[in-house]
Amino acid sequence: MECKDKEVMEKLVEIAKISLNEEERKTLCDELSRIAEYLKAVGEAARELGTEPLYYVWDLGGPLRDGGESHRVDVRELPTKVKDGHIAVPWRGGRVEE
Amino acid sequence: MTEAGSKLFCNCKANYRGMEPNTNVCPVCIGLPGALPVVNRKSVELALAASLAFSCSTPEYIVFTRKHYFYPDLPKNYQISMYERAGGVPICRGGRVRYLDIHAWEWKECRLRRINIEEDPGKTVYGEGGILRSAEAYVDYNRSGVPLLEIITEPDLGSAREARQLVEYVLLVLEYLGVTNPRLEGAFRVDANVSVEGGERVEVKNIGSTLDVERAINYEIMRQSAILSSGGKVERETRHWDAERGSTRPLRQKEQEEDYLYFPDPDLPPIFLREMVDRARSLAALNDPSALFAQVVELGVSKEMAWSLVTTRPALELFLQSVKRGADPQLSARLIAVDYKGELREKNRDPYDPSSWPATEYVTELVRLVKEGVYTYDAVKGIVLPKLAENPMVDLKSVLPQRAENLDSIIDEVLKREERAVKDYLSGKAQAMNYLVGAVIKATGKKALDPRAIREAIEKRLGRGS
Amino acid sequence: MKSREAWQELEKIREGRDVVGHVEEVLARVEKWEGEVKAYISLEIPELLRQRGEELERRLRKGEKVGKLAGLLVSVKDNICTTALPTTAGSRMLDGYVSPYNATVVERLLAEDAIVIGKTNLDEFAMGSTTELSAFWPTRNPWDLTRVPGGSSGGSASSLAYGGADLSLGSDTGGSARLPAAYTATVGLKPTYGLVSRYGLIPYGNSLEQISPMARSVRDVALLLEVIGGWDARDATSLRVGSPVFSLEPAEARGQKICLVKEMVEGAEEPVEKLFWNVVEKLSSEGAELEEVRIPVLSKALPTYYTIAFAEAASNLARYAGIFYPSKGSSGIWEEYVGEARAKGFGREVKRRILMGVYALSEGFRDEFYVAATRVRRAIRDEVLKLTRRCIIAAQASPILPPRIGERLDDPLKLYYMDMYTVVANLAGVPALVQPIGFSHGLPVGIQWIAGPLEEQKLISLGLLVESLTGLAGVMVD
Ligand SMILES: [Zn+2]
Repeated sequence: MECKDKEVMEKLVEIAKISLNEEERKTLCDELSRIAEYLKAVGEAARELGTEPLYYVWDLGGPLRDGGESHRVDVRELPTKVKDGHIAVPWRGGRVEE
Repeated sequence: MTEAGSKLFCNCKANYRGMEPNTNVCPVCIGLPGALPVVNRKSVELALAASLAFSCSTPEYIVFTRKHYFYPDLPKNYQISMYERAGGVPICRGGRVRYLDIHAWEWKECRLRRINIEEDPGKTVYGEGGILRSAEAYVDYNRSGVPLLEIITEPDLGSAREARQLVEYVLLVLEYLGVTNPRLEGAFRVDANVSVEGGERVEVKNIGSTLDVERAINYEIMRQSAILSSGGKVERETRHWDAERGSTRPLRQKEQEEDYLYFPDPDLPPIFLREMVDRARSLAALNDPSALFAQVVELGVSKEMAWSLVTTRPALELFLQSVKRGADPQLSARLIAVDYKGELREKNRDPYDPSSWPATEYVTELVRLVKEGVYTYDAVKGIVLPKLAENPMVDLKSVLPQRAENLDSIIDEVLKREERAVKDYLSGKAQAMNYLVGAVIKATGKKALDPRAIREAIEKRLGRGS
Repeated sequence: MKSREAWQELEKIREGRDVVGHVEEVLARVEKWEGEVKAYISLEIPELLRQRGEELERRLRKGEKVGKLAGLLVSVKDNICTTALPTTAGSRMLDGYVSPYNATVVERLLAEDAIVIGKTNLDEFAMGSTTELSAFWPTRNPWDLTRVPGGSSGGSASSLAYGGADLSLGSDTGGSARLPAAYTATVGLKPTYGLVSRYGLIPYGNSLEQISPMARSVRDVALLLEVIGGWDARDATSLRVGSPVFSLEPAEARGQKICLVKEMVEGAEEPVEKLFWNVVEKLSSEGAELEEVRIPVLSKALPTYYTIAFAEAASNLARYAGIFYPSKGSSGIWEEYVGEARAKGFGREVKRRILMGVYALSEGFRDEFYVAATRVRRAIRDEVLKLTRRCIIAAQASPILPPRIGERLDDPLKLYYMDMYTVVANLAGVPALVQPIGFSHGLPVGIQWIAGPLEEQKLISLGLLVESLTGLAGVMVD
C-alpha cells in the first residue's frame, strides 16, 4: 500500500517532535494511512448517530481541593542536569552530559 | 492569582517569590508520570468572583483543556487551559469592564471576550547570548502550575492611554477581590494586539507593567504608522516588548499557525459552579472599586482624592472607618489621601501595607481637633503627620503640638519685655515676628508648640490678626 | 496443573504457618520459571523479602494486628509507580527511572502488609496486546512457552500463572488485564471507571483505564479489590465511594439474567466459541435466563476505542522530552535534542500511536476523528448502561487462542483486533471480569462478564458460581 499523504505525515512528525529517518518515515506513513483508513469509520458513525461528545464517562462533576500537604520533590534525585538549582537543558548549542 | 494559596492543581505554593529555585515543586507540577491534577477550590472561587465583577455570563460548569506545545518551561509539554472550541468551557464569556478615565473623569467600557483559568509555565533564564544564542536554558519550575487568569478583551480600545487605564482598573478590581497583589514581581503580564488602519494586527508580548502598556503600544503605533506612511506593509506577527530598550522586536520569523491539539483534559471532570455562585457574587459586590469610589464622592470628597483613596485600599478602609465614627469626610480625605500618603511616599514606606497607617481613632481625633479649632490643619500636617508616618503606632498625645497653659498672659509678658522687636515688627520688619514666636516658645519652657498658632495669637494681640 | 489460591495462603499464615516459608515457596517458583517466562522487569532482592517475612512473623507471634494481605507476595505492573523498585513502563524512555512517590494503590498494599515481590513486564506504555512490545523482552506464556501471555499486563498474568506471585496489579485500558487473564487461566477484573485511584499509574488512555486486580481466583481478585478500591483525593476521576466489601457467596444460577450480545459473542475462532457455549448452556440448564441482544453500534467499538486511546496517549507522552527522564538526546539544539530523545526512547508501536493520536487531534481532522469517536462513545455507553440495568452481559474475552510469539507483529491492525471484545467495558466505564473456563489443546480460554457501574459484587458472585461449575480456581502450571 502506498502512503497517500506525505505532507500530513511531515506535519505529524513535526508536531510530535520525534526525529525519524527517511526509511522510518516511509514505513510509518504507510502504516498510518492504513490505520487512519480503519479509524475513519468513527466519522461516519458519529454523523449517523448525531450524539453529543462524551469526554468523561460519568455524568458527574469533579472535586475541588481545599489545600493539603505538598509532596515536595528534590529535583537533584531525578535523572536531570541541575546547575545552581536550575534545570539545565540544551538550548542553542550546549551539551548535556549523558 | 498570587493570592490563591496553592498552585492550580497541586499543593505547592501559589506565591513562590523568594524561594530557592525548584524547591516549590512536586510530582504534579513538574508533570512526573502518574501524577494527577486536582483543582484548587480557591482559584475557581476567585476566578468566578472576577467573572461576576466583569458582568460575564458564567456557565453551569467549567471544563479544562490541554494545549500542547514543546517548550523547556512546560514540564508536561502541554498547558492545562480552557479552550472553548475543543470541548473546553471557560469560566467567563462575554463580559465587560467599566473603567475610569481619570483624565476626563468619565467611565468607559470595554467588552471582554472571555476569561480562562490556566497554569503558568516555569521560568527560564539564559546564559551568555540570551534567548537567541545561549548554549543552555536554565529552568526554575517554582512558578510552574501557579493559577493564572487570562482575560481577553474585544478590540474596543482606541489608544495606548485607554489600554493602560483599562489594565490598571482591571488590576484594581482583582486586587479588591483578593485575586492578586499586582505589585508583586511577575504578578501580571500583558499581551497587546495593536493594529493601525491599513495594516495587519501585531501582537506585542511580554509587557510587565502598566506604564509599559502605554509605552509599548505607543511605540508600536509609531512603528506601524511609519511603515505604512513610507508605503510599506504591516504583516501579521508576534513581537516582543523590550522594556530596557523601550522598543519591540520580532519574536519568530515565520508566524506559522500552530497546532495545539486541544482536547478536554481527561484527568479533570467538569466542575460545577452552582454552589459557589452566591459567595462569589457577594464577594464581587462588596469589593467593587467603582461602587466604593461613588460612595466616597457622595460624601463630598473631590474625585481626585476619592480616586487616591480607592487606589490605596488601606487608605480607603481607614477613611471609611473614620467617617463612620463621625469624622468630617473632606478633612479626613485630605488628611489620609493627600498629606499622610504624601508623607509615606517621602519616607519610602509602603502605602499598601496596612501597618503603614495609623489607627482609626487617631484620624478621628486629629480631624476633631482641627474641626474644633484646637489646632490648625497645617499644624497637624506639619508636625503630627510626619511623626505618625514614621511610626503609626506611636502614642498620639506624644506627637501632638503641646498647648501651653495661660498662653495669653505669657504672650502679654513677652510683648511687654520685647518692646523693640514689637516696634520693628510693626514698622514692617517681618523677621521680627520669628524672634517673637521663639521668645514665646522659650518662655513657656516647652518645645512641641505649634509656631503657626503662636504667630496667629501674637498677630491677634497686636491687632493684625485676620 | 497445580492449584493455589492466595486467600488459602493467607489463612495458613494467620493460623501460624511461617511467612518466610511462604516467601521461599514463591521464590522457588520464580527460580524454576522466571528464566524462561521473563515475567518480571525487576525483582526485589530475595533477602529483603525474607526480612519482610520475618518481621511479619514477629508481629504475628506477638499477637499484633496485621494487615489484610499480611505475608502475601504481590507483583505490580511496571507502569505503576513505586519508590522501592524502578518504574519503566516497559520503555527505554524510562529505563532505570525511580519514581519519587508510590502510587496510591501501592501505598494501600503496603498499609495492608502485602510484600511487593517485583515489577512485571508489559507492552511499552501498556500499548499492545501480547507483551511482545516491551522494550526489554517479550514475556512468555507459562502454559506454552512458544506463545504470548496476552497484553499489556502479560508479565502480571504470567507471574500468577507460574506461581511467582500470590496476587498482581495490572492495568486495563482496552482489555490489558482481561486478555492476559484469558490467555493464562487467571482472573482479571477491570473495575468501574473511578473505583480504583489512578494516582501513580503512568497514563496511556486516561479516560478509559483502571488499575485492575489480577489473581488466580475470583475470591482472590475480590480480596485485592477490597484493598485497592475506594475514593482517593489525589485522583479527580476517583468516585466518592468507600472501600468495597464483597460477599463471597456464589450467585444462584436460577434467576440470573444473562444477555448474550451478538456483537460480543460472534466472530471468535471455533475452540473458543465451543468452550464459551459450554459454560453458557450449563448456566442455562441450571436455571439462568438467557437473552440474545443486538447492539449494532458495538461494531464501531474498536475504532472508537483506538481513536480515543491514541489521542490521549499522544498527549500523555508529550512530557517525555529528555529533561526529567533517562532517554536523552545528543544535540545541543533544543528542538533536535527533544526529537532525538524521543526517537531513541520510544519503540515503533508507541511512535505509531503518538503520530496517530496527533493526527486524530490536529486541526482539520479533530472533528472527524477524536470528537467523532467521543460521540460514538456516548452511544455505546448509553446502550451498555441500558442493558446492564436488566442483565449481566456475557461476552468472549478474546477472538483467538493465545497466539505464537511473533505471529501478530507484522500488522498493527491484526494486533488491534485482539481487543475487539474487551474495549466495550472501557468505553462504557463499567466493570468486567474475565475468568478461565477451560483449555483447548492445552491453551487456556476465558469468558468475560460485564455488569453495571459499581456492580463488581454481581461479577464476583457470578464468577464464584462459574468457578464451582468449571473447577478452575487457583490453577497454575506445575
Ligand atoms: Zn506542585
